[in-house]
Amino acid sequence: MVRWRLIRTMVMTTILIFVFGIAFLAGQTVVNDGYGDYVFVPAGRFLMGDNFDEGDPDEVPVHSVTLDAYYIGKYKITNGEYKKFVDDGGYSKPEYWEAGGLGEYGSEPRHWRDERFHGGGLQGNERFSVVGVSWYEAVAYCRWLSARTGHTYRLPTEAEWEKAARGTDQRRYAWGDRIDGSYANYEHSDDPYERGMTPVGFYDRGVHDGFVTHDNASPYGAYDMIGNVWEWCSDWYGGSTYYQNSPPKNPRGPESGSSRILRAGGWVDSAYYQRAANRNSSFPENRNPIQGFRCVREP
Amino acid sequence: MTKSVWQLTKHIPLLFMCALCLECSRLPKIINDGYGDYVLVPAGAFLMGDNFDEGNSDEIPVHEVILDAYYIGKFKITNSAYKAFIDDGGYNEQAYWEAGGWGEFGSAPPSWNSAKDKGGGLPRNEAYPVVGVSWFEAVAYCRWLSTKTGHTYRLPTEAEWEKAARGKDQRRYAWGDEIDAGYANFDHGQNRQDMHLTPVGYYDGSMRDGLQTHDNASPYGAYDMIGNVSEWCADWYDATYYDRSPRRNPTGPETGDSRALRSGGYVDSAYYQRAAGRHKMGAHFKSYKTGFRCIREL
Repeated sequence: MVRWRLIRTMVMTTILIFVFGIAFLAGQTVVNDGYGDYVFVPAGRFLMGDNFDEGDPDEVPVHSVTLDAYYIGKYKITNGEYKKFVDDGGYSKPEYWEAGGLGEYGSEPRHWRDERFHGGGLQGNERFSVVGVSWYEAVAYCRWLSARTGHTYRLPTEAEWEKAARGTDQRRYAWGDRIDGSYANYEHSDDPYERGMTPVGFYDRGVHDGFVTHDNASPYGAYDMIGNVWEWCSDWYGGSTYYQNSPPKNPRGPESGSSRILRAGGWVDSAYYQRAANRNSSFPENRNPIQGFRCVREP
Repeated sequence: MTKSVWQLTKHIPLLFMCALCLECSRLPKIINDGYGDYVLVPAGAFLMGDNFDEGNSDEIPVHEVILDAYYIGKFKITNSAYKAFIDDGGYNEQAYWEAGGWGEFGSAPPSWNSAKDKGGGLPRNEAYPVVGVSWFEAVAYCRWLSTKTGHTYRLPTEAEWEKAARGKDQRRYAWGDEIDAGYANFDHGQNRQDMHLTPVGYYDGSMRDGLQTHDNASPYGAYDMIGNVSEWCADWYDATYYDRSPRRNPTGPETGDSRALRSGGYVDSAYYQRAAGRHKMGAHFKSYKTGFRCIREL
């Protein structure tokens, strides 16, 4: 019996080592717990911040950050995915909600039935990013997903977001240093959905309604890290001085604050705000048509 | 006798309205104490907040606000206006400074000699709005101006700012619901290096540098309420203030950690230029895209 257990453990360990080995070698391993693809971001160091010296004062100094490995959502959370959380009664289960959030947001996102913003409560909007969600709703979704899958899902830290978006070679955007409308949805990018959101996965090198796109995957295979809608991160925003004294290993943001970090840039924002090093923030209760999120899955 | 008194009583609302109208017509539409034009915003109600249901959560609920009459600056405060305050020793006169601001800000804004920021210390920048001023400096300027003129000048409350910008018909911007490069100085998709401050009064319907401008006056005749630089307001900022703000002359929460800003800046896109949009910044902070305009009480 004991020997059987030992053999089983050894087999499992071998499989695990194999899996992680592949992950490290390929760098694009995908995991799927039945709620969408998550791409692997291997452990290691990257340089965080605005190496082009073109951004706002809060993006410097450029500093070395070392992160443990994690998986990040291949896409932002869609209406179709978020609807499962809504339908499962996620809004009324206290265990999913950070203090101060429970019962504050009704039973669905703001704009859920607004066609202007491709609300998830309307037919045909399943593949659009969920918007109109506060930071609390984003956190609640992650906790619900953890409960459903038995794995730990959560919002990315700001550092995890930036590494997942631009990798380790200090590129400006997810795919390189130059942006145009074929890569991402931002202000005046002239996509077929101009003045509105694009569905997730739109920028896949395909031709959509005669509009030619490039593949906008990040070095780890995450899509739409740039543009379309802003993404909530778990960190508090610590003002323009946080990078001056943030810990070099797995930084998690300041202890407290009044705003939570947003990354990515929205469809109403110009190229300047789409830079992967750019930082934005908002009060955590805020719900608007240009903010959504994606999750991280712990290994 | 009783009957005629009764009849008179019936007309009290009408008489009151007449008195109000007389009062209004008595007030000049524009007033100038020697420090720039101020335009009249008559007393009355308006609907404050994001009636388009497209903005941030701090812009709702839409709610009725009743304000007393006031005058608001026709333009944002310019470098030349601010220079008069500096030259008059405004930075050295403690009486002008709110607690916590006195002696904290040297003797001029940090961008005062910056060409990029159209600093007021350099020639030919007189007509540009002053930028790089903290909330304390904006307040100090208003107090100095009050002393010089004998009238009460101060920063607008958020409610005063919003009514002055969009009037009572719930328009999105100062002139209507649509925006383009001819109406205001904002990020309309041009390259970052092509974004610059414009002098006040630039958008008056004339041709400028090959651009056909539109007159961007608000319903009360205030210019540049939208774009170019953000403007400090008197209020503390609270995202949930509209849930509980008083109906009459709201002046913001009792305390807070940031002061309210209104109007987007020249590097901000259309979304951030909406007249209902609310912004905030710590009172000590300065930005290359933040200035202010004043209110003059009657």
